Amino acid sequence: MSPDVVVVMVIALFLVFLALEMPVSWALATSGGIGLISLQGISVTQSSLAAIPYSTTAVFSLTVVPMFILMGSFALHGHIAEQLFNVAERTIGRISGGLGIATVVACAGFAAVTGSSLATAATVGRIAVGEMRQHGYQAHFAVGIVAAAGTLGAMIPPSVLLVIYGIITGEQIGALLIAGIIPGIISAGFYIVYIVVRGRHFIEPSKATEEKRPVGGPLPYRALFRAALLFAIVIGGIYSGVFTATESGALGALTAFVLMVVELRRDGFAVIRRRLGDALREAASITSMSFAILVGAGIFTAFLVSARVPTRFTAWALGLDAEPWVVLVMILLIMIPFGMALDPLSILVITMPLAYPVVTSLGFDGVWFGILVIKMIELGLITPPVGVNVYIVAGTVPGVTAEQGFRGVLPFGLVDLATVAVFFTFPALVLWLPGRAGLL
Amino acid sequence: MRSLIHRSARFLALMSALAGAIMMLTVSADVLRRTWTGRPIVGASELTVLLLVAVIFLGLGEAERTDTHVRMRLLTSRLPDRVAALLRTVALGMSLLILLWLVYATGVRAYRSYLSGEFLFGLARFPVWPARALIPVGFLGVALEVALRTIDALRCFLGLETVTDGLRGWRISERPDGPEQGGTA
Repeated sequence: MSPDVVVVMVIALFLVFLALEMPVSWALATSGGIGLISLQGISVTQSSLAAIPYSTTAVFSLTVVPMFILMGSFALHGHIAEQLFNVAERTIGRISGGLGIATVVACAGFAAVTGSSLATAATVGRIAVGEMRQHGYQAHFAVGIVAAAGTLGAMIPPSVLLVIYGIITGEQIGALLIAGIIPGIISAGFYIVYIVVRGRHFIEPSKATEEKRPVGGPLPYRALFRAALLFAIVIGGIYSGVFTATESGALGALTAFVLMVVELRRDGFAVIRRRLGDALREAASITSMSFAILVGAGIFTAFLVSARVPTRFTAWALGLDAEPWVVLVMILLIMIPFGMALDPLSILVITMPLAYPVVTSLGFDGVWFGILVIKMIELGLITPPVGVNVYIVAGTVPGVTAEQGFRGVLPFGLVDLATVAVFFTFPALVLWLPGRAGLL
Repeated sequence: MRSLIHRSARFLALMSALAGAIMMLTVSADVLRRTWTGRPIVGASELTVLLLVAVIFLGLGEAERTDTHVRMRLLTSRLPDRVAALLRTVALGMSLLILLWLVYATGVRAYRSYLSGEFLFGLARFPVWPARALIPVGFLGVALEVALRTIDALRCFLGLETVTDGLRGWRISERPDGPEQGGTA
């Protein structure tokens, strides 16, 4: 059988396995394994299966992934997100559209202590959507705000997706994390501008006035301190060059643990012990799931390499009679249909071994490309039919359907595209900060 | 048997969680000591790699048990129950095959590593085989969970029960319409 036929067959098999509800990780491993058998025989495939799980995971720099996940988990159980929303709500919530803006600010703040979009959307959504609904926000608008702002979790460091992009491509993880700061802030700013400009069309005026009522009680400003402290340890450590990304992740996780214990101290030892157990178990489970996809992708990539697909794809793309920026735009646009069918991590591990060599061979910067890719992949989180953020946020509010959520998030998707266009046009917005830190 | 497999998955997950906590403490202690004394902890990096492998692979079974692995339910959620159960049985069976092969391949590799005395050479001479040995254990944990799900799906296809994916209380009619579970993004 010719390699081309095998490649087509294996890709088709992968899609069939996905449709049959096989986890993405095992679908990649199974289809990649079948491809390897077809091209290399059983003995070579067995050697690959024996070696890849260890070689793709037993790498010191990968430690940063579980550390970021653990830090986010401790921050979650330490109630940082709820308190950030509380502070934002009561300081900004009184202006028109203020609750929506407060939600974006809370998401950006929580994104600075967690590496996950899903965690950001789910945690802030649990509190914010109900609050916005009470104050006259139409359901689709409220869900749209949280689902879109939740994607900031993957852009504002610490970001697990940026780390994994770095692992796959070999780009410096510290540079990628620092590069995500300004784009994250600009993305949040664009969401806020949209809410200010269009929000009044989706908020019932009679209930909206209730936003202006004075609210008593002390504000949990300590949440700001805790989020700032974690951000300073992780990003400050990397920016100043004092710590590597891995070391910053571990110190961030340790600090988040201490902050969680301090926050929960009044609830008693039993609660702290339970929360600690939950945080550790959840982090371990998510880490296992993420790395299972990396192991599966390792097997799949071994098959693609044995079929010389990356080399041939790069040669084909470089031979196209088109301007380099057109090729880049095409690659970025391909992420949208991928986003409609797959989760962000899977898209990253499937597409980057093919796309990254093309883009860097065309002379583009790998860090800048990484930020554009993550932004495009994050669009998938709010795009039907697999817009995970929308399902998660809609699921937290009784009576709100995913369809309403997708309706509400559509304008934010267009805002995201506009944001990508800005980063595309002005690469300095992405590269200035890591350049200042001497990471480029 | 089912209870034993679930308990094993939970036990391995507990080890995975503990490994994560120890990893956090090891890296933190190493960086703090290096910052203050200029000297790293000998063997910390190598131990961290071993712990990383433990976190990743020992948690696989629990991730399957709690349905954390990312899977699409776009097609199967729209099909008649028994057809979906048949497709699920095929997919789970295929997953089981690759997982068992991974158990065997990585198990043999770990045994060879033990026999040959494979070491990591860093500041300390650190044996590789413990990390390699954890990999087949983790794959076996997830394979057993997948085997349970395969049996459940098959029983559902045969009309013997309505619970399809091994999750207590989850029935086809109650399954969320969303196409996914878990995720890191």
